[in-house]
Amino acid sequence: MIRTFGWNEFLFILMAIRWTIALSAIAFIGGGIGGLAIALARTSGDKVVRQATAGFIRVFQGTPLLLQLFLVYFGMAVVGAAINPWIAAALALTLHASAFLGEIWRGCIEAVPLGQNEAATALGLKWASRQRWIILPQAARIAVAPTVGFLVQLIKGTSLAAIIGFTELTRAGQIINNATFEPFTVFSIVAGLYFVLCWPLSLLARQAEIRFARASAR
Amino acid sequence: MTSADWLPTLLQPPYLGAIGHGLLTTLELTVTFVIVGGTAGFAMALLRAALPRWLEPLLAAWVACHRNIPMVVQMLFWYFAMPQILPDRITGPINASASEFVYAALALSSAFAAYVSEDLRSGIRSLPPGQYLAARASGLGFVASMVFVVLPQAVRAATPAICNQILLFFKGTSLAAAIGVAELTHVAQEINHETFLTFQIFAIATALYMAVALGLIGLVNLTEARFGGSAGRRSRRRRSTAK
Repeated sequence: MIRTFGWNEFLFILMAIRWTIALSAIAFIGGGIGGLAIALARTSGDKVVRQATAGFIRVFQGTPLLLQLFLVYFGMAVVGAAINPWIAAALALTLHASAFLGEIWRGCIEAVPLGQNEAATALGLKWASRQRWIILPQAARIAVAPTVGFLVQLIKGTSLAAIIGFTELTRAGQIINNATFEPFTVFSIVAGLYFVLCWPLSLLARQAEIRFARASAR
Repeated sequence: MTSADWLPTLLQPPYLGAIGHGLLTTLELTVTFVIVGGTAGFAMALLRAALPRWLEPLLAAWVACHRNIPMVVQMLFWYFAMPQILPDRITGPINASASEFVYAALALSSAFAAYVSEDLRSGIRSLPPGQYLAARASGLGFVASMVFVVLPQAVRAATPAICNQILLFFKGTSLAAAIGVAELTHVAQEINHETFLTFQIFAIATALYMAVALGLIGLVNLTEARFGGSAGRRSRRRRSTAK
């Protein structure tokens, strides 16, 4: 039976946005932690560590996110874990975010003038203190704009979880579309909701970029 | 099934053929969006430079829409919603052929055009305004100034960004699986369902994607070398030292 598109259908789609936000938040926090570790490994003195993480990054940057999702989702079944779209999506997106944030932040760390690290070493600071008090605070300023930019990518990326059956915004749209056969209305609303979520962040990223360019030009 | 006999299984004609066909479809989608979307993106960038200023917000909104809405949703929109609003005269022939492929190609091309036009616009903006003014002053019209003076330089400045977009959209072709196009990811998923050789089949797909991506990167480097040495970066450096 075909349902008409009404207030309840709209609310169903609207409420699904919380799963999109939750998934984005988990992947961003997890990816932030993993990304920091990878960025530090990529800029470390140990050649083996540097190349291992470079390989990790290359695999995740060279393959589609959907493939990574499938690999984790179906891989869980092979390993013997219970198939759970929630965990699979969170895990795949976290790994994905770790690789991308790691590469972004590596660039930011390398953008900090070398003399800063040398001066800190000359002052007798250990590696951890150098990173914590000298390098990372300066790299963080550079990192704001590209990190927010990647957050937009990540939020958009959560829509792929729909394909493995996790009911977030896109999947909610598909479900309602299957029930109402009003694709134009449904997908316009879904697209609009993503736009409302991502556009302010895009503006923020651009503003941060402009502000940083101005600050460093001075 | 033991883990040893997975390779002979996947090398059987039906699976091997499916993988090859999936890879081919992925490449077809890539070539289509580069040609169709790239041309449209060029036209858009020219349009943005030529049109009166009050139209600019409209085109900027068009670009912002493509940049802030997930590609999957754009795919679903083209596949499900567009036929609802497009006249039958257009949808008829599309539905008669491989409609999934056509709509996926349209979705990718449309989004790629938006990104390319944005990259080219910042390429145009990165040029000193004197270039355009001097072209006009030496008697070239708007179109001639754009085509012979501004665009060649803007393209060089935008080349690294556009190549990056090509790589991103190449990976984006996998999303056509969402509307049922039998490209590489979709094929890998289907073979996984039939054989349960999960890691093996996805490893093969991963290797194929990476091979094409590395090939694309090689192609990009070759083109940049042809253009007179890694065009974007070096010309930008030259410009900044010339200032």
